[in-house]
Amino acid sequence: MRLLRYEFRKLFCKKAVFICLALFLVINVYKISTLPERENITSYDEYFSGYDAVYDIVKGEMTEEKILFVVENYQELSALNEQNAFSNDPNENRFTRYDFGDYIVFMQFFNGMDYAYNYSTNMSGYINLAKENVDFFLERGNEYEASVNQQIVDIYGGRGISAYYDTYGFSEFFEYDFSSLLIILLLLLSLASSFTMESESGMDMLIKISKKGRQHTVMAKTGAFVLFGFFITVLFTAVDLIAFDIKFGLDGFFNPIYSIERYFTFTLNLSIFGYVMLSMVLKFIAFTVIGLFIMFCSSLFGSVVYSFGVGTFAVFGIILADGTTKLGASKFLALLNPLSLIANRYMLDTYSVVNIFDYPVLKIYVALIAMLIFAMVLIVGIMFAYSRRSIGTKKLSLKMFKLHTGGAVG
Amino acid sequence: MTLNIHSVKKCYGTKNALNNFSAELTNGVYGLLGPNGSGKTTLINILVGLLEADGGEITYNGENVKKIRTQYIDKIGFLPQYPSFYKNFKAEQFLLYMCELKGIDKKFAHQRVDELLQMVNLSQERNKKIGSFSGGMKQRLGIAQAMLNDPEILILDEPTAGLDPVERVRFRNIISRLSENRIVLLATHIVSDIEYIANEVILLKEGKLVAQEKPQKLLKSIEGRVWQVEADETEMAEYVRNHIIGNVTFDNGKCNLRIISASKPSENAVSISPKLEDVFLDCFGEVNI
Repeated sequence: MRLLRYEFRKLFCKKAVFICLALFLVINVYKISTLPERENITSYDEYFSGYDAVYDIVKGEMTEEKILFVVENYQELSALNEQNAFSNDPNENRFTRYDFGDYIVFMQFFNGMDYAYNYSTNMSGYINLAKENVDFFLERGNEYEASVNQQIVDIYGGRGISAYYDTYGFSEFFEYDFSSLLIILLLLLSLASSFTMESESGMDMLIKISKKGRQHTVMAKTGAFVLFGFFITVLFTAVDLIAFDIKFGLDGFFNPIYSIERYFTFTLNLSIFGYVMLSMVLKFIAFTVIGLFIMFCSSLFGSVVYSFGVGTFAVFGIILADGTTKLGASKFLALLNPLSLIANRYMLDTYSVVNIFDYPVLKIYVALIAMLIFAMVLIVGIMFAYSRRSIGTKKLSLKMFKLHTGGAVG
Repeated sequence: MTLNIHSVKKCYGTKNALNNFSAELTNGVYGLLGPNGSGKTTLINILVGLLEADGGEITYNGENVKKIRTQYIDKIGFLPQYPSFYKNFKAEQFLLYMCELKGIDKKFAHQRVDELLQMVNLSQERNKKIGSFSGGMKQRLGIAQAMLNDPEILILDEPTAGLDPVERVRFRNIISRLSENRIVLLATHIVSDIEYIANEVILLKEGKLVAQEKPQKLLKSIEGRVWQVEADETEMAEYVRNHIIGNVTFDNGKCNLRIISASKPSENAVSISPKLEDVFLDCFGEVNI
């Protein structure tokens, strides 16, 4: 445990890491602040205050009273719209002071509440179809397709939305990946020297001849990185949440994730808060794999220049591969890319499975298992590479000697 | 305590870095002397277990060190060449980290670190970052880390390279004090370091043991073969061509040459008492200035 603490200090308690972390947080907040505002048909101060006033009334549990309030107002304003009878004069009885403003406000709430209220009914059509498919495929002995449809029934059956919240902010929040890129950059900057620092400081030899030198040190470095990775994932998630809340407003934490219209067919039954947490954990696992890969590069080379170069090349390779696999070169290969866990919404927003031994397994589980296997393989690889890199010390001594004296060494 | 090195071999490709090297070390300071490329660092890396020998055997108190690897490592203290340690660590913090690496009980670690910081005269600098240390201070810190586990075998690879004369003397004195109850192997090509403190000198050339003797005996072996000659520039060129020259000084247009030669190099040559450096030159010679 104490070794882990020392490794944490060696790897991350550096001025450069603190500066990069602070800088990246500022860049991240700036980036969120420059995201495009929600598109509004109209925009004036009273419109927004009117919107907020109506939202305060309708948000939360969908009661008959709230539904009637929205429906009646919307119908009244729709009728005016159809008659082309909107007044251009201010009206103190309107929330937004204008007929048209109120019409837009109530139209939005009507559509949102309509989606929430009718979610269960709309979904039941799909579920009934899936149930029929189960019988159909069982009759024909196609057990795999029957399992697929049964899984659809199990996942989507019994769903319903009882509360209404404006989830536009969350919808944007889940689409935001820039902070993940910054975290990967931070990992690259801090981990490229994770092992090269030992040879460059002349500590490699001392570590390797110490009782807790080889495997203990690798495990301590890995543990320190996992702690740091978790810390920065939580930190950036928290900063993203705060920044998105300020920019767009985040409401409905405990509403189901499918209450966001974009996630109508989301494959997990979670609350929005649950998905925020799950997404954070999935990203953390992806960062762990990427970080371990950078550490592996560092354990292979004696110089940070090489490990940083190869690490950067590999990270861009991963990003590029993710793009090409999403374009359809191979959707299965995309699951083996850590970025699939970072942009996990692509795997979760629609039902999508992989056939494993004639059993439908959700893609997210396949990707998760693949990443855990990668992480194990990388840890073993680092241990092997670092323990075997003893000849490098000789080369280093030679190099250092030449640097000092311009000669060779005995 | 006895460290026996039996016919150890190590090759890098076709180059023999160590060629059937054998030596026996007991308590005291051993100066490992050899020119660049003679195999000193290779021998040290094998002794500390960083490199695997291609042949031969190393035993400690009669037991093969491969079989008692953990116990053997526990008995070793090592200071590698040119360590810079961690710049952002403080001296005390670094030593505590080394205690952790060496598996030293936390209860004793603080006390041991205090003792060693005092011994190497770094108590005042214990809370200073290593990045601000001079070369000599780093080497003293290096000695302290090597001594943390109170080793029976202390191996120092070029510990005085790059140090100023004051730091070098200070460092030599520390090593002398440490050599009472342990084997100290001091690899260097700075002959004067060994001259003052080594009980025995191991001369290594092209991976082979040339000699393992007490300094006095080595000096005796070269007695009558070190000469001082005064010459002009033309004569000097002649001497340089035909003899091993140890030193040249110029004085009033004349030069004084220190020559290592079995026979009297000239009529005006005066026999002088040898130094260990003369032995070094005699062994590894072929020096033309």
